[in-house]
Amino acid sequence: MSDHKYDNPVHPTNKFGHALDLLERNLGDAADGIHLDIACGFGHIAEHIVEKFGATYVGVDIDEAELAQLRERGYEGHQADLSRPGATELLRSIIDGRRVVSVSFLDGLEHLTDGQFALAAIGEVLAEHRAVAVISVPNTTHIDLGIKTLLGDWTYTPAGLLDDTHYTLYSDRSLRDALLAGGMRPVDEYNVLLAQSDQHFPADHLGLADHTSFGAWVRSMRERAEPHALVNQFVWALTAVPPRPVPAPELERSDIFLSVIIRNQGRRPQELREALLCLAGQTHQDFEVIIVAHRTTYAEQIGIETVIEEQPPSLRGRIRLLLLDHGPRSAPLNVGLQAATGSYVAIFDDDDTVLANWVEEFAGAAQGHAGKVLRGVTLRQKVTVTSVRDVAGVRAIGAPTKHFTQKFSLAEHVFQNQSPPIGWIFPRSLHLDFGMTFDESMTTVEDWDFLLQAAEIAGVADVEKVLAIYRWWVDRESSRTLHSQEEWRQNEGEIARRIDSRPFLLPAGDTRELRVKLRRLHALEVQVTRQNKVIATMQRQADRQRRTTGRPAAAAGPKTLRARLRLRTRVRSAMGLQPGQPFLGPVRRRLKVRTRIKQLAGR
Amino acid sequence: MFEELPPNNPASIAIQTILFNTPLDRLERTLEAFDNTARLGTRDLMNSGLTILIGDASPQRTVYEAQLDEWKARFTHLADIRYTFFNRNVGTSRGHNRLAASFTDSEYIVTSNPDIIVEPRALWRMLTVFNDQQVGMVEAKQLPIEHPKDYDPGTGQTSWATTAFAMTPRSLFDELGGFDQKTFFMYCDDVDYSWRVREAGRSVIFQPASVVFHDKHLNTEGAWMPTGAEVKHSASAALLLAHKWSRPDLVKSILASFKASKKTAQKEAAAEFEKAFKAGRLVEPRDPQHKIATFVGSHYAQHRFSL
Repeated sequence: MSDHKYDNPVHPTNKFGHALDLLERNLGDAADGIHLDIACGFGHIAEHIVEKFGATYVGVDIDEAELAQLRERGYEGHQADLSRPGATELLRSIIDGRRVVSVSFLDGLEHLTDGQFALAAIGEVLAEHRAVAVISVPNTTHIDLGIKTLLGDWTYTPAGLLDDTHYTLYSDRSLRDALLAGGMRPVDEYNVLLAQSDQHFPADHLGLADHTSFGAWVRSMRERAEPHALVNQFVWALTAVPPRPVPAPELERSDIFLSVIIRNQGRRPQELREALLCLAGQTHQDFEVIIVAHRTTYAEQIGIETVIEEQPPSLRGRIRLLLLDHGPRSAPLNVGLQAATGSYVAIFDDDDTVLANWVEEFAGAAQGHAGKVLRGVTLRQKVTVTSVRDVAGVRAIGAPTKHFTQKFSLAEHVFQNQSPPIGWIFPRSLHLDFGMTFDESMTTVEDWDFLLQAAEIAGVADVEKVLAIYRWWVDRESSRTLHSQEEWRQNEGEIARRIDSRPFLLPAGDTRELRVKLRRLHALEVQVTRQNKVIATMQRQADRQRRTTGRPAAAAGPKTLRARLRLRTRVRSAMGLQPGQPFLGPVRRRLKVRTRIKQLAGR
Repeated sequence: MFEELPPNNPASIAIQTILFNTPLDRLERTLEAFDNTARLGTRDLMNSGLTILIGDASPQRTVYEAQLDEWKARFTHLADIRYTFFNRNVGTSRGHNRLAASFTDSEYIVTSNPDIIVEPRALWRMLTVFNDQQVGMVEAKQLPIEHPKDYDPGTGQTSWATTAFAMTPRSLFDELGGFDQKTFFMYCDDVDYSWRVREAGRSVIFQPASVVFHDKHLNTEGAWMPTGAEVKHSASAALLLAHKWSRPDLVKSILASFKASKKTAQKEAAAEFEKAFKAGRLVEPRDPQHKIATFVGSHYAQHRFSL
């Protein structure tokens, strides 16, 4: 070993060890073939390749000095620059008609000014020889780098994630795209994970500490958004596939405003008809409809297809039916979310209804509050099912009434849900960029759980108009009746536990609301304490009197306020006092005079 | 195919609608929904011709020939789309009577608001109710705000049907002389027609499984927000209906209330009524025994809830 910055030993926990493990898992008989080690450097894995797999080791690198060390150890080494056109031919000349069984390209790609030629060359070799490759690339989206970048710090180092000789930096997605463009895709992964990367400095950086509020909050957001926060190096096994160009960056991801997701079990065709009718009646038609048929029988599926087929063409053309035959209650929401293409997403329970301006008002609000959760006023109406002349229909049995809060408060929602899903829509970015999905482990209140997280990240803009009617089914099966009170309580408890388990961000203004409520609570507590003292004093007096006289204490006076006021009026009248005139003073004086007279009279 | 009971026979239907400055894009969506309904009815052998009769009571003509031709070419499942420009605001009762007179070939007449979106099966479910020969009028349920008037949850029988979307046999319509255009301009013409249907021994049915979308707005307390025109015309209509259906006591109390009202529309309605009454321009009252007409507070049926 030398002092060279890249002269690291093979260890089971580093990229070399992981790459060798991947080869072991994915390589067949290698005895009569060669292993090409691209960007081999000193050829650290040469001995391991030969010993473990019996393949002939062939190193390729641009650095002649490092290759010389390799050759000194008796291995074949070739000097080649694969960052230019003609890389494939270069590799073929090195292979020289031999059978290639495997290729490694460890921490080399990021050093190339243009990696596409090397990747395309490796892709062609894999395709021609049906060989397997392993690649390792540093992950520049590691959480340490993310936090430091967020706080305005970007520090190159001689080696590591921000090695000052790196030309191209990769995330999981961009690496997959680059490999695909070269005609390869991962078939196995064994990434190197580091909770503290080489960028975890300085040691007292509060943002990097995972126990600070900031650190914990950022990490909780990142870990949900993308699963590679702690990956230091991507280490993947690759196979050949037809090449596909790197997609252009998505500047606009949605051509339509809203994706309406309807989960349906095929048991309430009339309610589905009414839901689709409400959508057909919208004054703003910039939306798509995704119906997810969940655990339906074939007959129920046909029923849903019939309802869709009967819709007017302009709506029918915007409806997609997806089938899902497994998963819990919230699974169809995630299937719909995955398929959605709109800027915003709505969850439309098919037994609710919306007013004609439901989409229009939300679209208008999105103009001024793009990216926020948008929430309208939802009324609640009691309904039941009736069969007039043997055809089932929905019958309202009460007026639409105000039941939920008119304005959204996240602080209030931490305590209880005030927003049925029909009354709000959320930006799809929450799913695409923050990794949000509906929690399938929750059998109820999954919408509340989602809303809390969505509101925390995006904030909520109120549309102060009635846009939807939440139907309250009085004598029919609904989520309210399907699940026991205990189950509801458990799920609500789980939401509370989640909120309590990490820092929670409140929007501006909610702290004022909390302050007002806490102040009122404090005042009430003071009042209760005072009243308890008075009660305790009276109790002591009563006990004392009982001990002295052996009788229960007489009532201190009239018990009710009305009786007291009546007594007061009678005393005023007896004394000839006018309303508003001082009352207690004259009474005391008169009682004193009466006592003196009694004393003088010896009575 | 329908799994529920279909109509006894295929039927020809004329859907009548009166425009008053109606936006064309909304009318087009309404027509698309009717065309789609016709497609379904034809496929399931219930439709022998669905014709749309558009009467335009707007100050300016709304629909021109080119537009009409485009719709006829696009909505191929409709037997015809006919357009009449009234050249003045004739009101709903006169407008519907004129449209009904302009096309007499259909077996059934449907009155529809111009901004109605019909659920694909609604029309045919309404038609099926006429398998019962006793039925004289059928009303569809409106969404998103259901009308609060009560109906029998099994038979659907109710006091009256709103002509926002209602169906009646042409023979009965002709027999009853259509809507009372002499008395009613708009509002309560449907209550009056419904009561005359019942007076003739036929029943009025509310079918909640037949659904149409009719845009309505509620305030954040859940209360209905009527337009200015709705307040004005319903005030006049309330007096005229109470008079026509032999409730002088109600006429007296409504007049007193309108005169004391701060709403100009109600004051004007009271003055107009008294003028017409003095001039002998009102129709003779009917139903003196109060066997048909139902007045419950300011409503014409028992309500399940109030909006």
